[in-house]
Amino acid sequence: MPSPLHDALPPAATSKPLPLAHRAVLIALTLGAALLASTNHISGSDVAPDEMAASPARIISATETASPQFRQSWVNPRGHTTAAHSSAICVLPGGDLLSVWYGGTREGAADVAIFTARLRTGSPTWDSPRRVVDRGTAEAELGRSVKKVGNAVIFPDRSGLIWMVYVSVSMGGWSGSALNVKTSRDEGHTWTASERLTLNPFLNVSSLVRNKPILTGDGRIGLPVYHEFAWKFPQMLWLTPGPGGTVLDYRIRNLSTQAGLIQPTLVPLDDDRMLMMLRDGNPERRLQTAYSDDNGWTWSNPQDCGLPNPDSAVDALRLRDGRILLVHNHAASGRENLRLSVSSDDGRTWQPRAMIESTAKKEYSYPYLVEDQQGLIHLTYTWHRERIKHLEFNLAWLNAPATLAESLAQ
Amino acid sequence: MKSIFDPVFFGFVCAAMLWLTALWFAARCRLKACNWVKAGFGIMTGLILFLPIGGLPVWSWAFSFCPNPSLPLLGAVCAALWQRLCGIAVFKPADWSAIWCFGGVGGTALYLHPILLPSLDLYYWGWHPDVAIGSITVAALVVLAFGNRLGVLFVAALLAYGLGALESHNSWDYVIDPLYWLVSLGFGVARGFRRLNSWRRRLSLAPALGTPLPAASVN
Repeated sequence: MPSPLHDALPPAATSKPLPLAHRAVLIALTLGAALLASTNHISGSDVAPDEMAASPARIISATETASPQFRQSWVNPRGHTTAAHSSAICVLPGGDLLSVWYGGTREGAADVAIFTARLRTGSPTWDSPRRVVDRGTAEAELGRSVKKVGNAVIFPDRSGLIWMVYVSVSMGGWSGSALNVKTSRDEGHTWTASERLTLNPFLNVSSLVRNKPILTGDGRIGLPVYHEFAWKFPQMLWLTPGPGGTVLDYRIRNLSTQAGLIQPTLVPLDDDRMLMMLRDGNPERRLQTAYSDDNGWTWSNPQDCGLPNPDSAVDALRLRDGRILLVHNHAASGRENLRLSVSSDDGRTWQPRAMIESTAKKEYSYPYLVEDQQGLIHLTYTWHRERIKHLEFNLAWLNAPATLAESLAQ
Repeated sequence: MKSIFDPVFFGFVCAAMLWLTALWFAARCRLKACNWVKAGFGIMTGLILFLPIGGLPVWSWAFSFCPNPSLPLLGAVCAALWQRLCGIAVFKPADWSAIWCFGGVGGTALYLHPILLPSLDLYYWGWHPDVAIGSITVAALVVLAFGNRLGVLFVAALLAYGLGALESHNSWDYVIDPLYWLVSLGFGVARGFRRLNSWRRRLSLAPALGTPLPAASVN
């Protein structure tokens, strides 16, 4: 089967194999190359993590016994962009909150940019949004065509470095996405240039991110991601941080072969166990849960957890009292409400708590939960696809009977 | 680990492939490829690749969609270029056959296995250095032991992997890429058609050759 390039050339010599002496030299070279390759690559990170990172020292305040606290604010000002979606929030090592989202004229438009905003400790209002990445800057930093940018998450690692992982698309729709990493050493004031991650074999398309990571005891970051091209399934991206805010090594593992389940959210439980909750794109529209006994390395088959899911993202958080807090659209279709639910049995059954939003024909979606050092829970979500709303509350508010009875949604 | 060569790789690969394609078409059109024609096509190729479209040069667009050219693809392009420029056939027909066979089989396994075996994640093993390096080394040794020059491309892939030459950290991206796979499949299909046609020709000639002689002449 000669090459057509070869066809166009003068007739080639017959297929004489390599002389024996050449073979010997090349075999020696092969062994040398193998030695070089094996010494330059890390092999230790290809195992399940022994343990999760110890939680940052928590100030055990009187939060649990304190009076209910609740506050709401807007992350982005009205009219900042026509559309805003897919927020994430993190607690910075200094105590400030940093939120990230994307905004523009509409989802997927060329003018969409990724913005961050900061809520300084003690301040009631968020600082003005800052544009961190848009199509132009991503193109310049990655050295390639970028059609649009999308979902982004931010989180601090154990060393205090702030990571941003965001989606960019060079061709097609969201299923043509790839993931990029930026890091910040100064709590999100400045960011390194974007670095592209190659996560898929075919043209590196279809890796997306939505939820917060887990940090392991050996320094790795386990970031739940998902795949959308051809069929949808959840994956886990294991990142090994390198010096100077770089990515030393990474690899991706498929979490489930059950199609239609995306946007995994992870909740560390006791010992080495972990809970995963999954958005359901299948006609059944049921929120799915799976469990891991080895810190997120391998997973059970996803099962219906008894809650509906209108093919929409959820987020969950382990509370200090051991329960799990879930934020979700409590409907089998539409994103017209947003509810808090809690589980006392590691996600097997759920008790409804406050309905925090409910308006017909409006969208409340893509919730993101974190807890700060004082035990306050922070929730951001998409409000009407126009703004990002921030709620801040404590366990006392969550537990108060009035919270369930007097849901915020009017 | 950032790639150290990828933009250079890509500029070179794009230029070489475009140039070779132009020369191939010239040969098809019976245009004699004298040195002036070669140089002319070379300059044209350079100009086309650096032509900015939408703010990015053409080669950068190619890089956007296929940022990890495999070493066998690069090697095939280099060998064809060398043969075109210097008249020295680096790869013999058996080597080309092995290159396209490996691209077709390897690419089909890597890209299509999730359809048949969704629980198997072959790509993941490309991140496992022991498995990756071991399998590429064994493949190189076996192929070289048989005297096939495809083994040289595997050695180049090992070296490139050791140096972190591509953007990807996955070793399979050093030996297979979608473009190489598709080109390999194209050659495989073309060869299949050629065989089918020759088989049909033989079949159509067979009755004529097999017609028994008239009985009268037997005596």
